[in-house]
Order: sequence, then structure tokens, then C-alpha cells
Amino acid sequence: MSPGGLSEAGAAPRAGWARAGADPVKAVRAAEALRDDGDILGAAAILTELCRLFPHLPYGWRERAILRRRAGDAAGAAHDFARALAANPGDLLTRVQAVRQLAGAGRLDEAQACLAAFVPRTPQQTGRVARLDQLLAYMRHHPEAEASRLAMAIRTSPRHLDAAAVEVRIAAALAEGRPFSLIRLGDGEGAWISDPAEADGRFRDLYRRNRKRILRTWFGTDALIDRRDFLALRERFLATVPAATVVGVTYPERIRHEYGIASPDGVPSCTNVLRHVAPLLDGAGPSFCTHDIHLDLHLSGGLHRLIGAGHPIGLISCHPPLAAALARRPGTRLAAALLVPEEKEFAGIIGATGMPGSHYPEAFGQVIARLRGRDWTGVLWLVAAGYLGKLYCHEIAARGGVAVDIGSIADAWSGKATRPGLADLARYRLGDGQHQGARR
Amino acid sequence: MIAATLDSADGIVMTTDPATARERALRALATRQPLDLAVAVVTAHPDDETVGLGGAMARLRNLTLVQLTDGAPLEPDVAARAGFPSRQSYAAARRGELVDALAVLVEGRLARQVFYEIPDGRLADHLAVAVERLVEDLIHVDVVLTHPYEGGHFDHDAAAFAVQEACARLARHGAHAPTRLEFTSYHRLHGLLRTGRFLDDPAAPEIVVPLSAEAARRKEVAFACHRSQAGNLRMFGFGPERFRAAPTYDFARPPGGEAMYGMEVWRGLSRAFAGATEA
Repeated sequence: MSPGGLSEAGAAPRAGWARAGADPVKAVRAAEALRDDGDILGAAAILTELCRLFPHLPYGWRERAILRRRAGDAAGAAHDFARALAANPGDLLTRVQAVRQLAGAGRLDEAQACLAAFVPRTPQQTGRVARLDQLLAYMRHHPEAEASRLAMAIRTSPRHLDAAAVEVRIAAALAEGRPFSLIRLGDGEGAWISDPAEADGRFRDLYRRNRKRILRTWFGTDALIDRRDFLALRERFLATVPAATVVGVTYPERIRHEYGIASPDGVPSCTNVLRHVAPLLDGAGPSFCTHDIHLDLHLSGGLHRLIGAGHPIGLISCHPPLAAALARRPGTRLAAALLVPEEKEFAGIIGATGMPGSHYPEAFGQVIARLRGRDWTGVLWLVAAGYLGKLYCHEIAARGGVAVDIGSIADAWSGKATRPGLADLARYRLGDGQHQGARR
Repeated sequence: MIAATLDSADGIVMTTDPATARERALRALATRQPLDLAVAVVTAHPDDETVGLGGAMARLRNLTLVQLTDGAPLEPDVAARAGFPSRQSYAAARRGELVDALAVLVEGRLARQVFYEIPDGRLADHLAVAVERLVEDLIHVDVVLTHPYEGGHFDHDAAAFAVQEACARLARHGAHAPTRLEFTSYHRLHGLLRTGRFLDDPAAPEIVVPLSAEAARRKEVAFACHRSQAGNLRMFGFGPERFRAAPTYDFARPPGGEAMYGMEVWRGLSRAFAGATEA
């Protein structure tokens, strides 16, 4: 059928439909392309037309359901997912989306029933169903209300710091020659923070899948998942949390988002981080901030003020030109710079660095050895090294230095938008330091 | 812990201060012990690393190799004489030979490998870019090993200049700069070609490191990997390797040895040095 045929059938072709052609699969792709370009209405027009012309096919309903869910139309999304499932009850992808839609809307019983209606036919399907089942169990056991309560407890604590307060703390530590470590705990770290009984028990498949995924992101392989040395490293990582000066964690809005989409990695990772750090509020432990503090410190000019304050700077990153770029800034003294291989998922964006190996174990051992080679009192270290970077921060602080986990800001300073939040790179330029750092 | 305060004179902190790095590196090289410091080897051509320190490379545990030229001159007849249809294919072959040699010398264990891909013989034409890139690359290492300034090959001399200038710029900007060491290449003295030796300089004492049987075997196999250079490599043997702290050269003056490439070429080289020197 051609667009002309549609007109003959009496239905006026809507904007965008002509791009879809007569093929339902091409129509879905065209809609996805429009959606990814931000043309939600154009995508919706194609999918609505697709559902009208081919109501017996699941694709249109499913994709429209996803659009509606993203737009916050939970009821509409549920309706479309139901139509998609009715069109093809054996389609696991649609089933998974429908279950997550229901779970994200807090309808866990319906989600469970929807999942139970599916009969896996392959080992892969069995595994995927098991993980989704465990996600639902996790959301029952650790409901959004619990995670939000923990996030609010941290945010409203007197120990919670905004960007300005964090900057003051860092500056004071540098001025007084005191050790300081700011680490941020995101999704990746969260995958390695869990109750051992849960990790080896009822949520085992879910946690292993999340850990494998993040290992592939970091190292390009998940071969480390059961390696003793890497698991031992996890114990050292966990020890860095109570020892840190400031810990960046997730916040209530993020919790709402992760539970709202029933994210298989976001829900347990964010919640487990909060469960892990919340008890630290009771003692004389670290202060807290959001795990987006690196972005806030950049945007507030705080990082630039700290870099330009005359203290020697250390840098750990995967960007070979970045150290020299920092050193060229007037008033910046780049005292040490260590390279680590890039996170493999972003290798294409970051480009060639000349480092053929993986961050762990080779480069990790070399960086630790170099950090242990001397005292770092009075040195401000900017650490952009992911999960292992938390251990570097710990080593630096243990040797008197000030370590700030700047994460993906190093990517942005190098002109690489590795995260969706960095898409507007102009906001995150390193700059020459001349016009940055003025208090706003 | 080494010290609780910043390093001495210039107040710059480094992962390992230059004097300590120099001492540790030369001691490790002399005693044939593994060296964990971050070391960059900067060479003009693929095969210079094999000639200069093929026996020692395996003991450099955190090694960055910076290859300044691709080993293929712009003149098409050179590639043709070597049996290649184009300069590009000659360069690709030399890259492949280097990879093979490194598999023997360090079993492929490199922390980092960087190719500047400047045409062979044209380093002087690209000195400004080479120095800028070296500033970016050498800031990450404690030690850099490169050619001496000795009049043997103009790319070698240009490499010596580029490394000294890059390190000087880092130091001037208050940034970490590695300590500079040298390995041997070749030069002419009293009309005779000398390989595997430095020009005599009482102010720059050298260390002499005999090759172990295993190192000599590895080096010999690595030589064979540089298949397109078999003729040139016959000039070099498998005797001791020599290293020393790099002197601070005055590149406005001719090299200490006879300029094998001729004084006219040196004058051009000298102009290139002057043009690439930061005021």
C-alpha cells in the first residue's frame, strides 16, 4: 500500500506518514527516528496511523505505549501495551515493557500477573523472565517509599552539602593541608553495593546481570565477575565509603524516575547505595551531596576557582591531551598526571588514546603504585576514573591529598559528550580559566 | 612516603621527583632490574627502539612508546626500492614490523603506544606540532628516553630537540616534566661510523649494560622482525646497551659529532629548532 492508497481508502495521510512508506516495520523505524530527533508528535502520528491500519500487529501499539509512557500518560500506555499483548501474547519484548509499565505505575500485582502469563520457550527467555520477576520482588521488598525516605533523610540532613559548601570544604582542606576525599556513587558503583544475602539469594540473577552489564561498560568484558581479585577489590571499594569526607549519592527525583520506569539496574543500584550509606548518618561519618556534584561544581565555577587557586593539581583521566590543556591555563600548576584506559563503552566517543589495555588490573596496579610513591599534602587531585577512581581518591586522601571525583566532567572538558547530560557541551567547556570561576 | 612537603626548588610536586626518577631509572637499567616508573621511549623511526634499548625494554613495566615518524620517506622511489608500491604501504609495513618486534621485546605489554605519523625525514618540518604533542604526552611519565644530539641522523637530532623543548616547556609552565635519559643510536667520529656508543662527554657519564643471553636472543629476533631494514640493521650489533642522563643541549650550535647529513642540512635543522623554540 502506498501513501496514495491511504488517500484512496479515505484516510488523509498525516504528517510524517509519507516517510514511513507502506511497510509496518519501516513505519516503526521512521517513528523511532522522529522520536530520537525529539519530534514526539510526528512519531505519534505515524504510530497512530500504523495502529489504525494494522491493528493486528503488536509493533505499533508497543511503540506508541512507550511514547505515551515517556510522556507521562500511564493509563494510555497501559491500554496500548494491553493491545500489543493481545496482538501477540508470545512477544517477550512487549511483555517486558508491559510488566515494567505496570510496575512503574505501582501496580505490582498486575505486573506479576502479566509476567506469570508468559511461558518462556528458550533458556534466554527463562533468564529474562527470572530477572524481571526478581525486579518485581525487589520493588516489593524495597518499595519506592523506602528509597525516597532514605533519599530525603540524606537530603534534609545537616550533613548534606550543596555545591558552594562542598567548594568551601575543599578549599579549606587545601589551605589547611588536610586530607579530603569526595567520591560519587552512581549506578555502576551501586551494582557492587548490596546485601550479600540478597546478592547470592533472591536477587542473584538480577544483580549478576547488572554487574555484568556494568563490567562490559567499564572493561569491555564481564570476565571479571567471579574473579577473586576483583571481588576482593570490592571490599576495598566499600571501605572507601565511610572513610570519605563527602559522598555523592542519588536524590529523591532520581528515585522517582528509576521506580517510575521500573529500571532493572537503576532501581536496585540507587536504592542499594542509599541503604548502604543511610546508616552513616547516625555516626560521625562523611558528609553528603548529590552524585551530580561534579556538574554542579563545574557550572557554579567552583572547580575553576579551586583549580586556579594556586595549589598543585593532579589529574587522573583517560584523555591524553587534558593534562596539558589544564597546564596551559594561567595560574594552574599541573603537578602530576596519570592516564588510565577509557571505559570501553565510550571508546568510540572518546577516540584513540593509544592505551591498548584495560583499566583493571594492569593500569590499576600502576596507578596505585604511583599514588603510593609519595605524600600528597596540599595537592588537589581531579580524579576521573570511574569505579576504580574511588580507590584512587582513597589512596590520595590517605597520603594527605585532596581528591575530587570529577567523573564525566573530564570527558566534557575534552569535548566528549559521553553522557546524555553532557549533550550541551558548550556549557561544560574547560575554557582558558580567564573568565571562569567568578562567583555567581 | 617520600616527603611531607612539596619538592624543593620550584615547589612542584611530581609522582616521583626528577632526581629520584633519574637515579632509580639508571640504577634499574644498570642492574637489569624491573622498573615500575612510568617511562616514555621517544624514537624517530620504527626500529630505533630495538637498536637503542631492545634488551632493556622488557624490564620497563610501565612503558609508553612514542613513534615520531612512520619510517616511510615522502620520496616515492624509497618505497619502490624497498619493494613497496607506495609510501603508504611502506609505512604500513614498517608499523607491522614494529608490532612484531614489540611482541618479542615486551610481549606486547605497553601501557601506551602513540604514532605521530610524520613522514620519515621530515620531522624538522613538523617540529612545532611534535613538540606540542610531546608536551601532552610526556606530562604523564616520570622518565623519557630518547636519542642523543650527535649528528647521526637529522630525525634523531630533531627528536632530541623536541623532547628537550617539550620538557622545558612543561617546566616553564610549572607542570610536571619527566627526567630525560638517552639511549644510543649512531654517529661519525674521525670519519668512522660508531654505533651503540655515545659521543664522549665527561660531563654526561654513561652506564653500560651488557645484554644477558636472553636479552641478546630477544634483540636478535626483534632485529629480524624489521624485515625492510635488514640492510641498515647490519650496522648494529648485540653488544652492551648504554644509557645516560641527557645533557642540556645548545641546539643553536652544531652537534658534538660530525654532522653526517652535512652542514647545509644542519643549518636548515637549526632554523627549524629556532622556529619551534618557545620564547
